Amino acid sequence: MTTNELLERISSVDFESGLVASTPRVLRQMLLRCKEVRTLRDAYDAGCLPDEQIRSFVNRLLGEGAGGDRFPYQTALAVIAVMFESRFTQFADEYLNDLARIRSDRFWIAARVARQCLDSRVTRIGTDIRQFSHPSTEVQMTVHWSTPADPQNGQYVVCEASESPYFQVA
Amino acid sequence: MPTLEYFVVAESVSVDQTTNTVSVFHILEEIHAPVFPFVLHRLVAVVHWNTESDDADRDFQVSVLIVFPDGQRKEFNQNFRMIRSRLRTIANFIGLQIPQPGTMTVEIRLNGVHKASHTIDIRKIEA
Repeated sequence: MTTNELLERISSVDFESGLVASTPRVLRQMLLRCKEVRTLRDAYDAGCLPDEQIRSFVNRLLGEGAGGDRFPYQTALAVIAVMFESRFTQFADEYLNDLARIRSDRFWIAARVARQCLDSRVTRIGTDIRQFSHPSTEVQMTVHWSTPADPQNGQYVVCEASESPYFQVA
Repeated sequence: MPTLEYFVVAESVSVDQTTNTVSVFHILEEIHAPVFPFVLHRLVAVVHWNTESDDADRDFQVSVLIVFPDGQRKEFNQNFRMIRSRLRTIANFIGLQIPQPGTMTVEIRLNGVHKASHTIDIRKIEA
């Protein structure tokens, strides 16, 4: 089954009718065990399901499901949320946060599943990255630090600054 | 107050986007250079914190204090909140200038309190 066929499958009535869940919590649990979710996640990890394809798919569903009291493709949105629960790409973050922020009744199941997924992510390890440049950035002299080839005999492999992939001569 | 799980100083680090696992490359233990001063292109301090029960939503400041072989001290601060049960703080340093051979120490402080330090030997290659 191609990724397009898989996406069509999760937005089908057949797929939704096989998932009878009373609450968003139960739906998330069912989706975590669902073969389609695992296959989609594997495809995402392998690079066969790019962010842009998911974005286009969701945009198409949003267009087709416009109007009415309830958005008809909430299960499909929830599938993608559960698929992204354990993934930490920028797009996954954006998708989960955007869906979880929706307070409209039209999306109540999908939004609540997304909130459950975000709650689950909180227990995972976060990362805070900062970058500092040295205050005195003038490079007076640059050399590549060398690897001792035979320190016992005082032999070293010393690279020329111009050959170094790390440094530039000031 | 968060507790320290591990602290390591290396040349670079990578956090896998799909599995959220950390890979640390080239832990800095000793550096050899034929001429001083020289520029250490990149250094990264990777710290992993575990939260305590009263840490939720509180602000903390991790300071990376670098003591150069000539005694010069530079402090770099990074504020964070323990919104998760575990958190990594990663500080990247670009273009550190090492003035002379000796010992360089990278110290980690949390809210001003010493937590750990990592020492790097800076050696001159004799011709």
